[in-house]
Amino acid sequence: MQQDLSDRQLIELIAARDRAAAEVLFVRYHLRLYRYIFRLVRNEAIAEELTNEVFLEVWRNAAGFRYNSSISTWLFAIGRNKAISILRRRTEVELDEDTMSKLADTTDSPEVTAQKGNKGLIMRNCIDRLSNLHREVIDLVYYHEKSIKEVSEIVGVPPNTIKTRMFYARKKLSELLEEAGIDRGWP
Amino acid sequence: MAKKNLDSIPDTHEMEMLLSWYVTGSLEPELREQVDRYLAGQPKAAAWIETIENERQATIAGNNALEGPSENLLERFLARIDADEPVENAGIRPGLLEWFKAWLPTPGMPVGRLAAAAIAIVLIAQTTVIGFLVNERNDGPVYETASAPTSATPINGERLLIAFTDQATADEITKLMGEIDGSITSGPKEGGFYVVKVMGTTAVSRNIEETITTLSKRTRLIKFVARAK
Repeated sequence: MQQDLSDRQLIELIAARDRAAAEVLFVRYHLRLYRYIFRLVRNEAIAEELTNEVFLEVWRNAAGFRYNSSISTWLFAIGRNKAISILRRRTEVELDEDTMSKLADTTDSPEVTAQKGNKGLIMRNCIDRLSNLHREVIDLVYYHEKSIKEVSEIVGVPPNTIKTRMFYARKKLSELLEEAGIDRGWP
Repeated sequence: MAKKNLDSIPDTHEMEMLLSWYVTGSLEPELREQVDRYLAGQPKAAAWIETIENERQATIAGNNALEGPSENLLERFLARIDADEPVENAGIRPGLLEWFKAWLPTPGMPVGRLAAAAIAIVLIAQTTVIGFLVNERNDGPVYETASAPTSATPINGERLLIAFTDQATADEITKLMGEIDGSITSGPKEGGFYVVKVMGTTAVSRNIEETITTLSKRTRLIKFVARAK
């Protein structure tokens, strides 16, 4: 199996039950997908199972893929739905934006990190302390390099909402940085 | 939560809201040109770009610092797609012996499956299941331990060794963990085994023997369960 086949070629092969193509697609995307899911569910075992379930769903449904979005966007959207389903079961409440926005991380406070004196570490710590909703959009834009349209498709909200959400995520990040003694003044 | 829209953000030009995508190079050409023109008239443009670049670098570093998944994840995925064929005998609930026979090596078994079967045998030997007596009944297998054949052992953080079936979804596993007030504490180990800690606070998990018996009957989700040392 050629490693340089396009995503579309791989999906077409997978639709024909080509096991090697499924393996190539898995190798190509599993790490980023796993990390995305892990940042949502915060459990290695569950993140691994969900990652495999995403690729299993691709294996089963590749023939029905309509190429309206990129393959990676499709993978992330499936992964997000599965992660939210798990989070719903875990919390036994409807996971709306209010709920998700409260699921902040519990890492060191900015003050504690500030004492460690590393500006990059402070920034990372503050990002980790964002709510799931805010950290997710930061991750999708900066780490996964998704466009506004792609983030919109993955998260399932309009593009303007994504722009607004990113703005408020960065604003919250500024507030956390300020608490840690870093006043950048913008946004 | 009140819905916010672009109009509700005062003193922020929409072009500034696009800067994150501008920095990552994921803006469409037309929008990118608009941002270029906007930035050309902004004295703080360089500082803004630097701020976003710092955010981007920290986000990448934070993600790269995460450990990757288990090395055998690909193998497990391939095993699942290999097993993802119509099952002719679906609906037949095997007894423990039949169920265990399915794990034993057979001619033509893939190497990975052979290894898993071998590991299963080793793991069984490492658990108290070695002393189990198996009574096949029409309504499914019932287990008794050699050390405690009749008395129930209360659960208080007991650990079980569980292997889930290929059909079991994470959603179903999570639901099951809720039913038994259990949590996966480690795994998957070689052969797909997980260590599950059970607190014994639910009706399903009043004592360890009942819990194992209950779980062993969930053959669609679980292909192996035993008490871990």
